[in-house]
Amino acid sequence: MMKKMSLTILCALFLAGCWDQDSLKEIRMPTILSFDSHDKHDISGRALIRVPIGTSKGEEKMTNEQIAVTGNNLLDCYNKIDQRSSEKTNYSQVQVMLLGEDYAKKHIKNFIDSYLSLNKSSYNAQVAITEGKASDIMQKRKKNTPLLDEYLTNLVETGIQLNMTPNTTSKIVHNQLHDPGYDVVIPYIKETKQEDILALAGVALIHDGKYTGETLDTEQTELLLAFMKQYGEKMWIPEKKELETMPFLINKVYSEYNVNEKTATADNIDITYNLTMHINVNEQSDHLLNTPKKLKAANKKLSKYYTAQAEKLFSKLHESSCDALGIGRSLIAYHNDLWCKLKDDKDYYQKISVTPKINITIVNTTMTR
Amino acid sequence: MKNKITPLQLFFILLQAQIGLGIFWIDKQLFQTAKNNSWLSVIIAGLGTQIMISVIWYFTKKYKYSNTTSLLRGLLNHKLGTCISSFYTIYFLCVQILIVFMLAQILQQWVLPETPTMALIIITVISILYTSGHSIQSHVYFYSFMSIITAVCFLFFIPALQNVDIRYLFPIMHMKQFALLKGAAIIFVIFSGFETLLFYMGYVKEKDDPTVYKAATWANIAMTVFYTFVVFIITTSFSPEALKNTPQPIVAIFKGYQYGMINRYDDLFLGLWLFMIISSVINYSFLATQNMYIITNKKWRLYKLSFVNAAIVFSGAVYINNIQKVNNFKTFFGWLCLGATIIIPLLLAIKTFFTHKEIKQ
Repeated sequence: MMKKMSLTILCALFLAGCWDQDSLKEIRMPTILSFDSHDKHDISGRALIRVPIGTSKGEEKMTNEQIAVTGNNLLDCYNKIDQRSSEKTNYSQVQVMLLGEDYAKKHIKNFIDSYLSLNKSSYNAQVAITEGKASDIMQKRKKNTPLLDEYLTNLVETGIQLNMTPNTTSKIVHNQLHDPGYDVVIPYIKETKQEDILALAGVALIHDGKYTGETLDTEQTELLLAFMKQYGEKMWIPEKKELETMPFLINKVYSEYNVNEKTATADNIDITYNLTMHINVNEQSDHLLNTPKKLKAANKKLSKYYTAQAEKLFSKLHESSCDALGIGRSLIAYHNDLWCKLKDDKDYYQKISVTPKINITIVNTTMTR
Repeated sequence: MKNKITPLQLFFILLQAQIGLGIFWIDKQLFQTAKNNSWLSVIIAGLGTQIMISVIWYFTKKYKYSNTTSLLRGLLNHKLGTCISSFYTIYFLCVQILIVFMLAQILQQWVLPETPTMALIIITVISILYTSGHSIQSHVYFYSFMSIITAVCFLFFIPALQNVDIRYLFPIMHMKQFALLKGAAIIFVIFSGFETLLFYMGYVKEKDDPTVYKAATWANIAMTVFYTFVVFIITTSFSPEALKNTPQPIVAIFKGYQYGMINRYDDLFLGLWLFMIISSVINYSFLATQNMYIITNKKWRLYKLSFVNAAIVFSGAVYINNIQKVNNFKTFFGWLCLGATIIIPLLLAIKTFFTHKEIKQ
């Protein structure tokens, strides 16, 4: 009995939790981080922290507090944030990380690596690139909107849920940045001119761990995501005038690509990328698709329109040599001989010409829902 | 029936001995050697393990004995038998030291960064101290109970399948010669644990019963399938370049998940997996204590020896505190493991093949 008792007491003495407890009132948890390049080599960083303030009625209200620092590298910035805040900083609750345009053009890779090497960093923080300086966006505050951190977090997360932007957690970005056959695309946040609010404006194209300066608009992003087989609740509305009456939802997407090995040379590889979409058209009462002939014509029109759109998309990807679909990865996996000719070149995507073809089949029509 | 185990219980013992820290050994060292074909290396290592299990069963089934030290003494001679038994005792102690140390290191890296290593080592050593002096029966009950937690742990891996990219597995066999075998040699360490069969055979009542061999085989198959699955998940979740700078890829995979309210999936996983590691380490501590008990001709009480065992493990784990010592110790352990799992069983089997003498109790 004594033996057991003494063992229990000994165990209790060494309970490991005591050393690592972080009580909430003693730590500060930034929810948004932003980084910009400052002068030539310096980096200016900003951390947004949610703090409670007491109101006169006695209830607690939340407000945002910002810490702005300038350092000569990222770890220096993190250190300075620690120094400026009154309590210990814990990065486990970071939701969104904003990168300014100029900073993203220099190095995203370093940024992700140094963030993930932080103690208690979150693997689920979303990465986004902003138009202009990220700190400008951080300083925006509207009277009737919710807190900035809440707004930004919801903005990015809804974008992912509605399949308007890809899911770019720090873990995924880290993984794809370190892949020779893949380039990542990152959500692009912009301030709309008229209403002065923040909005998602497609994705920024990254190549070789740097932002290329090119972006895709929201329509092109959705098409790209359909190629990545990320589609969902979002209603698609063709911009072309004659097709305006046919908004649709995607039921199912099948994609296949074909590498033309016979004509492939070290400088040029032809790939045909076929995408078959089964869609559900939302009919308008004055444009009913009630005969097989009309359906066939509609199929053809939509296919033609979206094939043209896809061609534009791929030419844009080609210009910035951003391999967003991971074609290089597929070549490594299934056509390794071809890849061996390409692999020394970082801009290998320039040598790949993709011919997209989209087949749209209307499988269902509905008028009301 | 006291101090005897059934084949089913043997299955659970071997399973618990093999599953444990091995999952954290699957790291960049393997993936740099065997690259995307690492899962083939694991299968090769599993086949090697199966051969060694057959070898061990081949010579142990022929004799009737109550403990392996007496088998060794009878088969060779008294001095040499004691020597080999002591070698295994040292090996079991080293396994314990390595597991205790690495467990402390991993916990410190992923969950408890501010806790001193000493405290984490002491927690494990206390559980070793508590369990090592007990009879085989209580151990067997514990392992059978642990199999429920094993099942729960396996469920943890299923969500890991949701964002795998199958392209990372290809191209198959597009690599240098012998890279697969080199990978198998690296990964063979995680299969160590089957050599305890040599000692647990002493507790099996009917040694020439084929179900004993079947139990060991099924334990090995379960292990091979499990580790192949883990390697498959790791290979398909990381790009090869990203794998190079991820220390324990399996924990990193779990850390990347988020399901509703659960933010740190890896904490949950490590918390459960701790049981698996502890149950594999007490397996070795039991064998080390029993071996010491028999080598000293039962002069010492069992519980005193369990204190000796715990003291050695503790001082060993505290001693290896910098990266140089760890690497040296790992190399040393690699050779020890080679001797204990392959060379000695093979030599004993050859000896048995040429002699047919009865073992006197």
